[in-house]
Amino acid sequence: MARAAVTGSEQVPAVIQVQGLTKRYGDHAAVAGVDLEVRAGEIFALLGPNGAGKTTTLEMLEGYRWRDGGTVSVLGVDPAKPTLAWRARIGLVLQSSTLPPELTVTELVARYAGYYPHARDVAETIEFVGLSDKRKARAGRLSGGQQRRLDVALALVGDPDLVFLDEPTTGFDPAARRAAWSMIESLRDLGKTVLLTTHYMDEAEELADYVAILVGGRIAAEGTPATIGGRDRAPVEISFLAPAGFDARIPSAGETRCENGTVVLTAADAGRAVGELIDWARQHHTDLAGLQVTRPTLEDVYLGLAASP
Amino acid sequence: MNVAALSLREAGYARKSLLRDPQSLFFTIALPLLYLFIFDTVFGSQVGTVPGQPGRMKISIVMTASVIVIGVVSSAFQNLTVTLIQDREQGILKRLRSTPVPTPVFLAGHLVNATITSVILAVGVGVLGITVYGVPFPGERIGAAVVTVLMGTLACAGAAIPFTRVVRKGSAASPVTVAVTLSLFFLSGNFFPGVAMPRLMGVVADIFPVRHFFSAMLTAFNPNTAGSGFDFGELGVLALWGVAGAALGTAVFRWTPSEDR
Repeated sequence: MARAAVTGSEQVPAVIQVQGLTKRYGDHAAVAGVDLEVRAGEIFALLGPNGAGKTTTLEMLEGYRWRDGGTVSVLGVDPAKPTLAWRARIGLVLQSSTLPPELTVTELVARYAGYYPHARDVAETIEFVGLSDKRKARAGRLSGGQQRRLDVALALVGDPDLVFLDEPTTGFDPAARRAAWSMIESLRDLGKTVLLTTHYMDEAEELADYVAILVGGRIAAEGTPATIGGRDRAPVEISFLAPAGFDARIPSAGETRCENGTVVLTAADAGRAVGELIDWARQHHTDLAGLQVTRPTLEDVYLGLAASP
Repeated sequence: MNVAALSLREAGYARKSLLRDPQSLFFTIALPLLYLFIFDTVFGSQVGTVPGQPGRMKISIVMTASVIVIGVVSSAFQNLTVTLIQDREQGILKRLRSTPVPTPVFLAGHLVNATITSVILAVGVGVLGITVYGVPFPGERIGAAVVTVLMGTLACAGAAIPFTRVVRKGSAASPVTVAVTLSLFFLSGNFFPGVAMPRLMGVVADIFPVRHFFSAMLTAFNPNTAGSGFDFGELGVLALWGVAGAALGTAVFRWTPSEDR
């Protein structure tokens, strides 16, 4: 399916185009007709629960797995017929992989750099992932997070146009995740296109320009993190602590209910409802303590989709 | 970087990995030396004849040639097979596959590494045999001995690459390759100096490279051999194994353990 043009900008060329992608294992369709379009220079997040088909989809785009149906173009090439020149334009981090434990950080990055026609500087790449003080350490002696960063360095040293990251921060502590996020964001600044998978909402919300939610091998929703699943148009919830003697009657456009001392007002037109509420508060001399105006979070959208088969 | 330079660089990394892994190093290098010590202690002082070889010779000569063969098989077949299968199972090869490194370059790197180890082992065993166990220096046949070691390495590595498709699991790699090589050593007479093997065993052994390798090695070490010591018939079989195995192995080589690719 073709994505709509981004408002106020020219149509950006697609780096990845996928139509009707399917993969079956026996009777089970792990990927059941996925359409995707990833545009140059964006961070695209494929979000979904475990077993939704994220890695299978990614590995078909990376040239690791055969597909059973559909058409795929990655940088203009069908990944079922990968060429060495095509591999040179792609960098990737697998969900789980081991690096030769006996080789040092510098040796591994230099080894990979040697495979590419236009490799980045080795020391600079190690610096970029923050492993300069570990450059002489053997891969087998690094912590899990450090090994992952080394893996990212190997993905980037060939100066690829397109980067695949399969669950790049799974198992990270909060500080390491923040560091990884800023690293991924700087890939966008370098002009790279990034396709990442994650099951963390905050990760998708923080990083992604565009999100597709994969559930049961199908795209259940897609859009920008702010608009996916009609988040921007969904009814707002306005809540505040109930003042003394509150009788649950507010002349407003929305529905009002009182739960455990909190008044919750659901309204389709946020502006009008907030205006009416403020008028009402002035008349009743109440200060609307604990006032919150919320729309469904990405997590609400996600959980709603992930729960329905 | 051109293909030859890239292959040599790969060999360097394979070499570093081997040297920094004490366990593989022990099994690859120490075990053949241990065989040499045991065999020569038991049989070394005897003199006998070997079927297919001219004249009588000290059994320590036979054992030295035999252990050179065992060492090369250990480095170029056993260690290479186990390394490739385990690296594939752990995802090291899958990770490498994402790069534009050509399959033949990667495999050539491993072949060069196996050759270096084989030559070091052969020299070590040969020197020990000559200095400690009274084996006469091959003299003008030294060229034949070197070429035989190189062709034996090629044959073993050639067999190793397609063999990585036969064994799937990393945990099975070591037991299966040890079982295969031990069987071939028995069939090929490596453990029974000077004994004429039953005919059927000889027929089976002739299919595989070990007996041809051993025979060519012994021709180079046998002081009764006339001329330069090249056993071109046996070397031809080794070359055939090497070239056919490398071609088949490169075509069917798999970078991931799953059925996909």
